Amino acid sequence: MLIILVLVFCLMRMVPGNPMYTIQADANLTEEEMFILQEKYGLNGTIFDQFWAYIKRVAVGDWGTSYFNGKAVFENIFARMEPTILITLLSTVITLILGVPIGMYCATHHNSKLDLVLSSTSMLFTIVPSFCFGVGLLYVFAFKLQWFPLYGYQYIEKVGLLESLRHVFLPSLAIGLSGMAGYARHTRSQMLDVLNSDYIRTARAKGLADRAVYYRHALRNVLSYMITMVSGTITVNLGGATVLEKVFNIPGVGLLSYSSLFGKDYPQEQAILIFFAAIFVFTNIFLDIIYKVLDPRIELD
Amino acid sequence: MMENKEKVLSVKDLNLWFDGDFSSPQILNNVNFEVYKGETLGIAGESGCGKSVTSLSVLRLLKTPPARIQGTIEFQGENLLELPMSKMQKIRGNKIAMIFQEPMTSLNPLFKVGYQLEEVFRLHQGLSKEEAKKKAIEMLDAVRIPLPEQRAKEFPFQLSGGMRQRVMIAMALSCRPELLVADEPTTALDVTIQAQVLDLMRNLQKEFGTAIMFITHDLGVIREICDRVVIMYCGEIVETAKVEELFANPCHPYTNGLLSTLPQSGVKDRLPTIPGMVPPAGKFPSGCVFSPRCEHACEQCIANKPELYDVGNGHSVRCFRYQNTEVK
Amino acid sequence: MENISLGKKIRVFIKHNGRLIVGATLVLAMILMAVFAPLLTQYDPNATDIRNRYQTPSAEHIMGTDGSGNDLWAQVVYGARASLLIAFASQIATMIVGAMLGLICGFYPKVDMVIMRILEAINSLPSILLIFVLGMVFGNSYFNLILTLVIAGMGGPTRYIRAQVMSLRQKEFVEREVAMGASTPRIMFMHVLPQCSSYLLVTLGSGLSSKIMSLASMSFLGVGLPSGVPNWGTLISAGQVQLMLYPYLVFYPMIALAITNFGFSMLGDGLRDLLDPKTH
Repeated sequence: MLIILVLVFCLMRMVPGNPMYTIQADANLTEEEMFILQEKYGLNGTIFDQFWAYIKRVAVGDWGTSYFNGKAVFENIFARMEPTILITLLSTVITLILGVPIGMYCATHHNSKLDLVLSSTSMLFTIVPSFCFGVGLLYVFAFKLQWFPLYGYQYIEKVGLLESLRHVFLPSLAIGLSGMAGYARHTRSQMLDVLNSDYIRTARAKGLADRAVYYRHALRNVLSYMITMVSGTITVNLGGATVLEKVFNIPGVGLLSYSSLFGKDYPQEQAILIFFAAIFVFTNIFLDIIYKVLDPRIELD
Repeated sequence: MMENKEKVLSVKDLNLWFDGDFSSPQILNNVNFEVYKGETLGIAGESGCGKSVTSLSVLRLLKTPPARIQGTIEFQGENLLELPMSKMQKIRGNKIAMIFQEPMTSLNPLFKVGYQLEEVFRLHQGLSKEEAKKKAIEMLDAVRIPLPEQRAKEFPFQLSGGMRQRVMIAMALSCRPELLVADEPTTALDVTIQAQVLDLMRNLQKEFGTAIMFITHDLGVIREICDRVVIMYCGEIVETAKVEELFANPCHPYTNGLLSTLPQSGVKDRLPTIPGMVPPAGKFPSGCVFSPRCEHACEQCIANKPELYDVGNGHSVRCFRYQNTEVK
Repeated sequence: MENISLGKKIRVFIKHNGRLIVGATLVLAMILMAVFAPLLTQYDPNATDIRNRYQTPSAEHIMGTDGSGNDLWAQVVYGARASLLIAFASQIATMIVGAMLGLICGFYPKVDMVIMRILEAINSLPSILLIFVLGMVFGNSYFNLILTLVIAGMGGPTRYIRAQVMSLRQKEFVEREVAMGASTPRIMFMHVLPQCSSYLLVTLGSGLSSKIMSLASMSFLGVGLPSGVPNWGTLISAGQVQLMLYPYLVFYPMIALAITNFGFSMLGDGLRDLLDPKTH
C-alpha cells in the first residue's frame, strides 16, 4: 500500500517534467531548425513527418548522431559529463554547507552585529552573476596565487578524485557562493518563522535549553522546508556549471552545448537538453524520497 | 482558610511594557496575586486584557525586548525574573509547567508524540531512553488516552485536537509540577471535549496536588474548575475573590457586565453585552480603566485611579464605589 | 501618540527603510548615468584608437582603454543604457505576460493544463541554458532578446498569480460578483489584479536584478544583443581574454554590474519591507 502510494506520487511528479514534454518543446524549436536543415540537405517531408520520425527513432533508443563527429549524441554527452556533474555536486554541497549554518546563526542571533554582517556579506555574493566570481577567483587563486590550475580538466580515471576536484573547485566555489546567500536568507527567515511557532514555545516551556530547541526541534522543521529548494538549486547550479565551463575552459557538457549551438549541431543540442531535463526529473524523485523521510505528514497530505 | 496554606507563587507589582518605535504601551500595570498550594486560580478577562501575557511572563517565555518587565514573581523563595536562564530552564516543565491555547500547533509536527513526552523525563529526571519511554506511556495512560503504546508512536497530525491537548497535559504533568499554568486550554476545543478536558484536569489536580493558574475568558469554565478568581481589565486586576463569593456578590461593574453576558438556562432574552470596546494597548484610560464603559462612572473615576479596596472575605475590588466599605 | 515630532517620524522611517533609500538612490544614479551618458564622457564607446590600446587607468582614460583603444569608462557608461533598457523592458513585459497568463490559467482550467505543462517543461531546464539556446535560436536583436528573457522568466509571476486567482475565487466578494453576473474579464481586472499588485511591485527589484544578470551572462556567452552595442557582459567576456595582463578590463564592468544589482536588490528588499506587513 505504502509503496504504491510512493510510486503514484513519484509518477505524478514525473509527468510534468517528463522528457516527453521536453522533446515536444524542443521539437517545436527544431521544427524551424529542421526546416532549414531540410532545405540545406535536400530532405523531404513535412515538419510533422520529421517530428514523427524523430519520435519513432527515439522510441527505439536512437537519439541521433552528432553532425560534428558522427558519434551517437549520448556517447558524446557521457564522455563529457564527468566535470559537469562534479561541478554541480560540489557547488551544491558548498551552497548547503555554507548557507544553512549561516542562516541558522543569523536567526538564532537575530539582530546581533554578526547577523547584520553575515546577512549583508552573503548578499554581496548575489549581486554579480556567478561567472564574474569565476573570473575573479580565476585571477586571484589560479593566476596570482597559483593554488589551482588555470584551465582545463583532468579525468578522475587518470589523476584521481582529488586532482580532478582541484580542477573544478574554483568554478564550483563561484557557483556555490552565488547560491549560498539565497540559502542563508531563506534559512534565516524560515528559522525565524519556526522560532515564533507554538511548538517552539512548547519546547521552551518544557525546559529545553536553547541549543536543544534550535538544533533538535527547529532545525528539522527548517530543513524540511529547505529540501524543497534544493531541486531548484541543482538546476541553477547545473546552468552555472555550463557557463563556468566556458570561463575555465573545462570540456564538460556545457562547453559541448556551447559548441554544438554555435556549430548548429541540433541533434546534439536536443540530446543535451533532454539530458538536463532527465537530471531534473531524477533529482526531484530523489529529493521527494528525502522529503518524505524528513516529514511524516507528506504521505497523508 | 487560605491564609494557612502555603504560597506557591506570588506575583508582586508586575509591570510590563512593549517597546515600540513611537511609544511603549504599558500592557500590565501593578498586577499582584498569589497562587496557593493545591488550589486553582482563575484569571479571566476579555482578549487583550493582559492575561496571556501574565501567564507567559511567569515562565519568562516573552521575548525581551520588545517586552520589558518589572516587579517580582516569587516561586519557592526565588524571584523568577532574576534567575539566570539556565536555572529557569530547570524550573520550566519541571516545577512550573504550561499548557497552551492551540493544541493543533503546540506540538512539533515532525516528532513522534512519545518522543516529545520522553524528552521531559530525560531532561528533568535524567532517565534513560527505555525508562523515559515507559514513563511516557504511563503518562499517556494517565490522561486517559486509549492505546497509549500505539499513540506514542504516532505523529501529532494523526491525533485529534482533544487528544493533542491531552498529550500537552500529559507533558505538563510529567514531572508533577508545583504549578501548572494553563493558558486557555479549552478555548480551541469543542464543548464536549472541553468538558472532558476540564474533568481530566480536575481529577489530575486531586491526584497530583498541583496548583493551577487557569487563564480563560469564559466565566462558565471558571465556575466549574476554579477556587479563586482574578478578573483583569486593561492590564489591571479589577476584582479578585473566591469563586462562590464572586458569583454571589460581584462588585465591579465590569464583573457584573461579564456575568450578565453568561447564558442562563430558562432565560430566552437576547444576551446582554457590555457597551463599548476594550481600548487598544497604549490607549488605556488614565483614571479608572473601565470608566469609559461604566454606567456608574463619575468625574472622580475619570480623573483618578482607584485602589483595590478590600470588601472582606478575601474579596477586593478596584472601584471607588467600594472605597468606604467597612471590612467585616 | 499625536505629539511625535516629524523629525522622529522621519528618523524611524529611515531606520526601517534604509534599504529602500539606498536602493532607490543607486538605481536612480544608474538611470541618470545611462540617460546622460554622452555628457559623462567625451569618447565614443565604439571608436577605435589603435595607438592608445591597453592604456592603464589614467587622468585621460579613467578606466583605461581596451585592446582596440576604446575608452573603458565610455563603454561602461554607455553599457548602462543597453543593460537598463533591456532589464526594464523585459521585466515589465514579463510581469504583464505573467499576469495575463496567470489570470487566464486561474479562470480557464483547460488552458491552465496546457500552460502549466509548458511552464514545467521550461522549469526543468537550467534557465541560463534555456536563455542561451533561445537567444541563439531567435537571433540577436533587442526584441528577440526581450522575448527570450520573458519566456525564461514568466514562470514565477504566472504561478503566483494563478495561485492568487485560485484562492480569491473562493472568496465571498468574488462569488458575489459572479452571482451578480459580472463577466470573467471584469472580475479578472477589477477584482483580482489589484490584489496581486503588491506582489508584482515587490518582485520588481529582484526581477530587474535577475534580468541584468541573465543579460550579462548571455552577452558573456556571446548571444543576445546585436554586435557593437556596448554592454557589460560583452566587456567582461572580451576582458577575460586579457585577464592576466589587464585585469582592470574585467574589474570595472563587474563593478558597474554589481552596483546596479545591489541597487535593485536593495530596492526590492526595501519595497518588500514597506509593503509586506509580516516583516514588521
